Amino acid sequence: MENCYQNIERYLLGELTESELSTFERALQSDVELAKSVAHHREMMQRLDALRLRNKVKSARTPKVMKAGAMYVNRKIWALAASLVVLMAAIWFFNLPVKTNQEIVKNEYPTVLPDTLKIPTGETPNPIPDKPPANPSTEKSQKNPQLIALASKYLLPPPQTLVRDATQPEGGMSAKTPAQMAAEAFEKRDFRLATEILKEDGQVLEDEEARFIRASARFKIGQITGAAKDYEVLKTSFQYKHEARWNFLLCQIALGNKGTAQSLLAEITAEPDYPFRDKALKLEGEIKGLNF
Amino acid sequence: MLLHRMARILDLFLDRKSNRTCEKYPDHGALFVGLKGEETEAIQCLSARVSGSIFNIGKGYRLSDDDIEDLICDCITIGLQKIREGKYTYQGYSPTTFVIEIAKNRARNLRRSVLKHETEHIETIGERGDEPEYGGVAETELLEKLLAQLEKNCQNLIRLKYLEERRDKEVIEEKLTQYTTVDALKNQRSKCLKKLVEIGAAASLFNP
Repeated sequence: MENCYQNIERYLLGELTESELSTFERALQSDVELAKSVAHHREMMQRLDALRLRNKVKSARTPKVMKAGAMYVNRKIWALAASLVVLMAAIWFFNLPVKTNQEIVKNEYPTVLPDTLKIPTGETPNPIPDKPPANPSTEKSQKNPQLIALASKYLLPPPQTLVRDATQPEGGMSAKTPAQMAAEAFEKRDFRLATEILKEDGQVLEDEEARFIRASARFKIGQITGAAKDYEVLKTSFQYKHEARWNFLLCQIALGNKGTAQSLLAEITAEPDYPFRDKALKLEGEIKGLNF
Repeated sequence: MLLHRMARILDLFLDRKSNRTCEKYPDHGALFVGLKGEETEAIQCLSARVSGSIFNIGKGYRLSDDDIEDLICDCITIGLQKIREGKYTYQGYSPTTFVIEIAKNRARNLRRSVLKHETEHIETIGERGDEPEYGGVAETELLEKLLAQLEKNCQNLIRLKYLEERRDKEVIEEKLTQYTTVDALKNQRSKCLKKLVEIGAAASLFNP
């Protein structure tokens, strides 16, 4: 009987000879304990087989498919990582350094432009001067350094507050407007840049401050005619009408438009309430000394 | 929403990957035959095909990622076992569907075992499977522990025969044990197996 217990495994594996098998089966009929032990052995072998299969599945999944499985298991992490990459790319894209107008202007006009007295195009033509010259023959531009120096001496620059305010970006705005950049350039005495930034009339059409800055910058770089046109337009401005009128006069002096200048100067000195009358009187004296 | 969409894209990507794994098994029958032969590629194909679905089932039952990973292994193992034992025969249906059905049942039971204190009354109704399934992670881990209680020599004999499926003759020829004859090897292994059964019985492994 003891031998039967030793043969359980062989019995379950089907390795018993015919005679051994018949002996074993007879014993199995009569021995309950042997039958129980056979059942336990059978179950144990099934469990071992299940363990073998599981190990096989695990090893099959490990080299190739495990990666896919792991990706399924961690797919949210992968998805999160992918989303982060997309987000980072978007942040990068939207934060690409924006080429400012100032840089564009600098790149487009890297060298100093020759001074010209070109009349800006596209401007609403306002006749210069607003009154016909007293003597058209003398209206021809006679650029005289002394006259230009005199005009420059009396020229009223844009109010400091205007320039300073214009250089401060408006709340919430990160990019500066062309007018602000021009004001900044003007404050840095980069008059040519200021002029270039505001070279399009559309940029000053509705912006008196910008026009004042452009006019002043134009005057500073010798574009007197252009400056005169801007001051001419500003003469109707509520805020800058007096400065514009005064500077327009100075432009006429700088341009050598004797008749127009004398006429305008006479008008101004005749107005007791004009804010720059004193200056006008002083200028009148100086002009006489220059034989203007 | 973005995460969901990205996960979907990954699903598509992984499905394509599973298609590549399954090139050798163009139809359900071929896969079944491969699984019956316990071919590694067939197991990989089945695994690739069922992983996504079982993952979703597991998530549906709020199982952890580790539990889901175990669930995938459990279901494939049990599926293979059923095929091996002839309890699942090919009838034109996909083995994938069969394994996914196993997963649904097991996921439900797993969830219930997690919430055992809440659903104890339901457990007693008799939801347990009618046939024992030994391929689950709990069963196999327990068996590993029992095996570890055997002497090294016994462990080796059992492993060679039942876990590595090495032929006795091969074991002797390759001198994988101390035994020089097949009979001596068989006698000793028989004793080792008996010992393992006794350890199992002591651990209430077997049904009364």
